[in-house]
Amino acid sequence: MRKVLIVVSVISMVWWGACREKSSAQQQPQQDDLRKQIGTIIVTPGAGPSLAVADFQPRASGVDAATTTFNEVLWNDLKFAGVANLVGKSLYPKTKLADPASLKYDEWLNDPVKSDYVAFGSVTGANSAQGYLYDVKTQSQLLTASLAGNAREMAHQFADQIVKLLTGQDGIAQSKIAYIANREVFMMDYDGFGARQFTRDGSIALFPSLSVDGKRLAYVSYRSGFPNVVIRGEDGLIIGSTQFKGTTTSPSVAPDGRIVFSSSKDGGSMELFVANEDGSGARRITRSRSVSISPRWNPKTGLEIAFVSDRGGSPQIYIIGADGTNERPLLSMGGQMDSPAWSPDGRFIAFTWNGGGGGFHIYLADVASGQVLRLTREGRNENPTWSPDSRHIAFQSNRTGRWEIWAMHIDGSEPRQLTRTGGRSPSWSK
Amino acid sequence: MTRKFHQLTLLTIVVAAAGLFSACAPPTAKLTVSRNEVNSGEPVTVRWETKNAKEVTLNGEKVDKIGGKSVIPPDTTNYEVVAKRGKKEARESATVKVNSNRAAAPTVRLTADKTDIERGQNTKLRWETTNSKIVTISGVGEVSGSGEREVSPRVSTTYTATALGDGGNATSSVRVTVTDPPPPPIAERPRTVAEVQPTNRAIADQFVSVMKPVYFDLDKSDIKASEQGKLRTLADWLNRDTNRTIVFKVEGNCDPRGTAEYNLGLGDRRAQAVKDFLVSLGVDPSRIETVSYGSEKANGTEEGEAGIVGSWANDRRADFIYLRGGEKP
Repeated sequence: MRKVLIVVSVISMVWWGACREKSSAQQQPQQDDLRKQIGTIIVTPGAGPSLAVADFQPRASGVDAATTTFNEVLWNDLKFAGVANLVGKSLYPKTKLADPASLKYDEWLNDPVKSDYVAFGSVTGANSAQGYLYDVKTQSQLLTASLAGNAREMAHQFADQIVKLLTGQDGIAQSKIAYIANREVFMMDYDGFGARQFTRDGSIALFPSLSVDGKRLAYVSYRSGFPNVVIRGEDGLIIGSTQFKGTTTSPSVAPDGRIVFSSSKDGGSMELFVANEDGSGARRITRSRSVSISPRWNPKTGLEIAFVSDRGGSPQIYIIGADGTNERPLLSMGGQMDSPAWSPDGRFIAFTWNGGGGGFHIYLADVASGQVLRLTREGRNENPTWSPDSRHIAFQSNRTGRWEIWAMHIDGSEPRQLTRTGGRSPSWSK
Repeated sequence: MTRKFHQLTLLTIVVAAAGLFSACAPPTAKLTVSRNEVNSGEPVTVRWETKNAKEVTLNGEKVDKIGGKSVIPPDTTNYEVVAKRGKKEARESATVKVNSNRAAAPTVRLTADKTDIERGQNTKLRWETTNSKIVTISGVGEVSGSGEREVSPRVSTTYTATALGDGGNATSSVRVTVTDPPPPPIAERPRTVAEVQPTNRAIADQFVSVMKPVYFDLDKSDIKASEQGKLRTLADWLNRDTNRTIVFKVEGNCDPRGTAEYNLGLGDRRAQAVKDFLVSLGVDPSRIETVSYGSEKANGTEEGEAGIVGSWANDRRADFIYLRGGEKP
């Protein structure tokens, strides 16, 4: 009871601090509602189905190391997926479980495992594995999976297939994140492994933005002497670029390939433009004569754009139709807001804000209700980006003393560091 | 000689007695099944172990004295091992119940004729399934129960075929590795003073010595009073007859306290403000390019003082970069 009181008072203090900064006080402190809603998105201990993940067994010579990696990656994938409670491995039966012939339902159904599902299998070669998922209660096989690739790839495949079966939604274990390191664009797996350099411009690269399908990347490059938007295909080849003087920045790719960006190309203030998928045919959509920056498409509809404008005095979040109509404020909380990131399901906008105390932090806004929830507490945190399943957020944080890419659940729990040698401006996609 | 013969005889008798005794021992048989209840199509391991047996059978079929095998019982089956020695025998059995009301599990197999290709090349995916209702292949879409398809992935891709049936799901993956193309050529670097070939190095040097940076207040882009005098001096110099053809760039910069995206806009406003001020003093706008570096060049850790590198006050500035033009002084 006492704990609850402390939590409630801390939340109300934070909220009160946030409210003080508001320039218009149309929002009520309803973040408990939002936290409740979000609590149903990520499975918390004690709720949701339980899943046992038995260690895969090596079934070929020379695959012991690959099997160890496979088991570690599979466990981490399913833990971070947050779709089921993982039953601790120390509770599992002592007998190895590598194939359905050795499966005894009672061992997994009864104390101490008490699992709804059990996943198991074997690594059958350097680039092959066989996985199974069984429903322990109905005693039925849900999945048999023949996996291919290296140990990490196979574990990611199997994790995604399990998530798909348990939730009906695509998993994220095979998704990727673009980011900036050493002034170039890099790509990495969603768990921070497999980093590879994507651009070699020898200039300054900023603000990479992957398309919803992950097959396009738009970013800002100074290779022309001015910051311009460059669009590349997944193979790295250039599809097009803008050729403006002045400052052109913050591209975002629509589901249909169109690009929105902010530019002072006409010599005045930074305004928003929508261009064709190769950057040509830019049409101006804002005429604010103040700064309009950080545009992001609604990736679900491709019809609306969230952006930041300081027309009201300080940078706040607005929404505008892609054709320039129906412009309206979304959040007016005072302080400085930036980098609004629309969730792929269109429901939330994550952003960074310095009005809640302690510098810049990541916040979450419910687009329909305007309710806001704070997600980070440590260090300075910016540039949120959504996982393809709308259940996780990656961002940059300097909490270790250097800008690194981090990821967390939509409710701010389970933060995990993805880069170790520096990284900024993540963009997460399929 | 006779002594040795007696020893041999004794040994023979002992061995024969032992043999007789063991021949009399009754055979034993043990049988276990890995699962007592399965769905149709699922495998079960049957293991048996016998002693003192001459002939061992499993459900009438002759087998080794100790062994095990994986079987898929078609329906509920009693497995019995019989160990025989002469007239003596031992037997043990176990029943595996098969839930035959459940549909058979689907199977799928996906292969590629080439799993390593160069970009631009094709590979052929082949697949076959059983007991499936819907078959999909990632990146391809819904397909028929078996078939083949040419694909030409641009990057390394895992194709997963998923067969969905009444008896569950089956997937089969194949990884096609695409060889990376050579890295794109290094693009043209942004031009800086050192890389520009000035008509006269002396003009460029003089430009650098005259055109000192302009500083700004936090989150502001207006030219503060203390900087206005500086800009008037610069405008006078730029408006001299010998300097009227000089073309230059104004680079706007910010300290790192704001967000990177916002700062790119703020730096642009600062560069624009400097340009507008110089234009108001008679400098031709066509001579001035503006660009923002936001906080990308910032390295301040505290407020400090303008002109001192490593301070926020110094980060908030507009720099002047000589591009071309001008006459010998």
